[in-house]
Amino acid sequence: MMLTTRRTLKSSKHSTWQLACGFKLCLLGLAMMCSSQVLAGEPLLNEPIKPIPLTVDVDPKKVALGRLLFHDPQLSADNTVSCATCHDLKTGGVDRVKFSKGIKGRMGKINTPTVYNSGLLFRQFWDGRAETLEDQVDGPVQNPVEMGSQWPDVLAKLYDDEKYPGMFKAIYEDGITRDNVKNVIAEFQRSLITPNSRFDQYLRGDENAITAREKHGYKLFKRYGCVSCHQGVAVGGNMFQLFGAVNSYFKVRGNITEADMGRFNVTGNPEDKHVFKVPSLRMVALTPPYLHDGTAKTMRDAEDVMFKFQLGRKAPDDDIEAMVEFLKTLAGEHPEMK
Amino acid sequence: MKRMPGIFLLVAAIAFSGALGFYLVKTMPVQQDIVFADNIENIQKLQAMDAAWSLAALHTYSTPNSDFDEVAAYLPQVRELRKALGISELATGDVPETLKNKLIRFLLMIESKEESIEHFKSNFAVVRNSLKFLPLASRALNVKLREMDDKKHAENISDLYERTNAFLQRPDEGNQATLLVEFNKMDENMMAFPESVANPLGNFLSHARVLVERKIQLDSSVEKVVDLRASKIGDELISQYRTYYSDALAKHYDERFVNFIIALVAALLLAIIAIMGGVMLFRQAQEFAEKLEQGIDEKTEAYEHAAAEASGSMVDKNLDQSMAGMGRMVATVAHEVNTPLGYLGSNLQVLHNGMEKMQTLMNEFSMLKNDLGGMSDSDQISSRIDNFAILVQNTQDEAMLDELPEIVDDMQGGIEQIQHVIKDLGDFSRKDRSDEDWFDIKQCVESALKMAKKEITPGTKVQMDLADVPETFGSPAEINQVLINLINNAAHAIEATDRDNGLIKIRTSLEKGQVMVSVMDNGEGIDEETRRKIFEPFFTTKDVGKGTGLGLAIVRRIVTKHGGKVMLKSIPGKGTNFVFVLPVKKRPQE
Repeated sequence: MMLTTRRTLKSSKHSTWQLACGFKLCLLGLAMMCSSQVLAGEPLLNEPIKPIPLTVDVDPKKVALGRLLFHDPQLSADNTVSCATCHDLKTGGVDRVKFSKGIKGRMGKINTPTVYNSGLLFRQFWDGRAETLEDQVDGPVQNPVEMGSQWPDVLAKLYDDEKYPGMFKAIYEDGITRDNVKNVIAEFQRSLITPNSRFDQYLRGDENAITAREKHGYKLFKRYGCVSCHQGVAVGGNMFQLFGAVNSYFKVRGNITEADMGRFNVTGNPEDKHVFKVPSLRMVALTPPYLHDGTAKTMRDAEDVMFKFQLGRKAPDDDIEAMVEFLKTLAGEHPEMK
Repeated sequence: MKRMPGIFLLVAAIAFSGALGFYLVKTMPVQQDIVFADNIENIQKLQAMDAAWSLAALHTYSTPNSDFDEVAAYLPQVRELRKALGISELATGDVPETLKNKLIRFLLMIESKEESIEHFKSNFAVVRNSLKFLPLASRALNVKLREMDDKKHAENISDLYERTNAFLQRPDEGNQATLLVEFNKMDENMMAFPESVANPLGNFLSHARVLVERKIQLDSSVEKVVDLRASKIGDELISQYRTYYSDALAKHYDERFVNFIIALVAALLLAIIAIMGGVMLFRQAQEFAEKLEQGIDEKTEAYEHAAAEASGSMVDKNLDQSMAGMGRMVATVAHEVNTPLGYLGSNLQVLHNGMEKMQTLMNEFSMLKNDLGGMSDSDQISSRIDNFAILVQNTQDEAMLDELPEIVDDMQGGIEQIQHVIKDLGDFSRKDRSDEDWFDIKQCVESALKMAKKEITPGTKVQMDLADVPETFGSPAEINQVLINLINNAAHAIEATDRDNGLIKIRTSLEKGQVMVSVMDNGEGIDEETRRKIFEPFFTTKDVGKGTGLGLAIVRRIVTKHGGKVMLKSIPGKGTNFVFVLPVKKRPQE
């Protein structure tokens, strides 16, 4: 049954999983023939980080419509805030502030995560309360400090717009509905993957895609144990973790807010206090400030916090810097980023 | 004018027949069949996924460099199935409360599995990091304490470290509490130490505390991850649902049948009345009745066919049954994986220790080399060399260099054991090796024998008596697997007797139009009690670490899938004969 999933992953069209799996089979064969001999240009398959698929299977019509809605302030109560207001696609999918401002200058309570690669995450939001990108859309649209809207009002505005009714009709028989709006926005988000990063090129076998220093940084990233949580295709985003796993972060920072309770707000389970979704590090170089409370201004600051509270150990400055160099190789490409 | 009553009657007959037809279509149970089959299938998929999910999590647990993407990939599928069942007629329709409650319990179990898996993932990441770091932290601290000549605390820490390790091998709540109290005490005394000690001490304590707190949590989340009660409840749900459905269907069918007969009689009466309307009209009416009857036959047949499908054959029944054995399986798997992991860990510790000693020796050596360059006094030189020789000797003893190869072998063995378990599981759960083709069973025997060779004790004779049999259709890879498993079992049965005249006989023949393959051995034999359970998944008579208990379950699954049968005869102490037959099919003319 384990294989069933693999098969589904493989069968998704044009997916690089397919490539990777194909390679894997070839390599197994090779490995058998010439035992431990290392060949130049071999993809690195046995790594805890995997490359982002080069393409993603989405419906272009939905993506185009979702893109319009993503940039449309009509989704907010007073027509001032669009998704792109906080998730600026030109600046890494975030607005690069500690907390974003919603309608009427209202202040958010948690740092805005990037929308890039959100389709690769196992759940949405810092506390993972949405299981799908579709469900996620409800959050910001209805949150009083973000867009502060009610769905019926949003739908009414879209009905009155000259372009939307036709565009929806061309995709969905039932035209503009709440579910369909959520679906197209989610589909647009699914298209926002950033493949072909220098690090992914390295994983795919181009040894010269990253420098010796960056490779060293990656080695340290694994050795210090960062990779125990920041792993997989998104370098994070596939599990939850206690913030303050080794030393208590909140005791030191103090002034605990509701947002700091993390997943506990969703499950009510005391074990989930201060537990958050491990964020993806794919876009990390482009998306300061860091942490759910936006208190780390630079990657270095964030690493310091991680070392102190998550890893409970110290690293020499040189190691920290080498890891920053490595992290900068993770962001890939997307036309919207230019 | 004469015709008028005839036409009137005919129209009435048509109208009535129309109503009858409408009634027939409306009460077709086919729609119900699909809903029923879908629900059953979804429950079974969810059961299978629940088990596979556990295995995927375990797999990550035992594989270095793995990531949780695959474990996370189950989420959307599980979510969809849960949703589908949650809104199905089984949850919302007109079904008995007990059935609904069972479904709810089943879905809740799956939901809590999801939660356990999340906790497992988080705990595992933290424990893994701290396990790696604790020895380093302890060493760094010890070096600092010894530098300061603080032997008392150094010993204290060593002792604490050892007890922490002992706890990790055998966690219990009493020791947990004691250790935590001691950590806290140390924490409070931290201020008494200079900063150069306080820092490494803080590191050591944090990680020791994390491990002591989290190990029990991790173990309990692993237990929950491998808990397959959901599958059991799923089994009960399915059987209750089947009973309910077939009862309901029978009732429905009875009613429908009675109504139908009444309607038919009425229709015939109408037809007879219509005869009086005239011969032509009568003929038309007769044609109509004929058509009607023909339609009824077809539909009855279609209904029976659909009902048979729904009541079972569409899903792999063996998988279904194996769900009941899942509990046993998971215990076996967890045990099989955990035991070698345990001694892999302790052997690593020994290796680590040895390497450290070697490191010291090498440092000493480079110092010696440097110093010798600047020395001219031969006495001094020889005394340095003597000292170094003593150090070499000591290192050899302390680092247990002589034992290292054995330790490495042990570890290799442990890894192989784990790989073996995982491979068996893979074979069991694999359903995609079904590249079907025509193949010659003789070739299969020969290649299987090659692959099983290393399991056969030297001195055991292998006799083959391979008659020419027709080509078989199926998956050669799977049949190969069947043969390997049977030969392996034969070899192991012989090995268990310590006899030196071991004999394995492999025969193929054509019997009653079936291809028969027999694998016979003169090994220890199988007693009756064991014979009864031998095909159950995860049943094994072998020692822990020697067998996963999947071999014969795989054999049966594959052979049954090919439309064949497995049988066995055995005399305890004398030997065993496994026989399987495969149906002969006609190769289509090309």
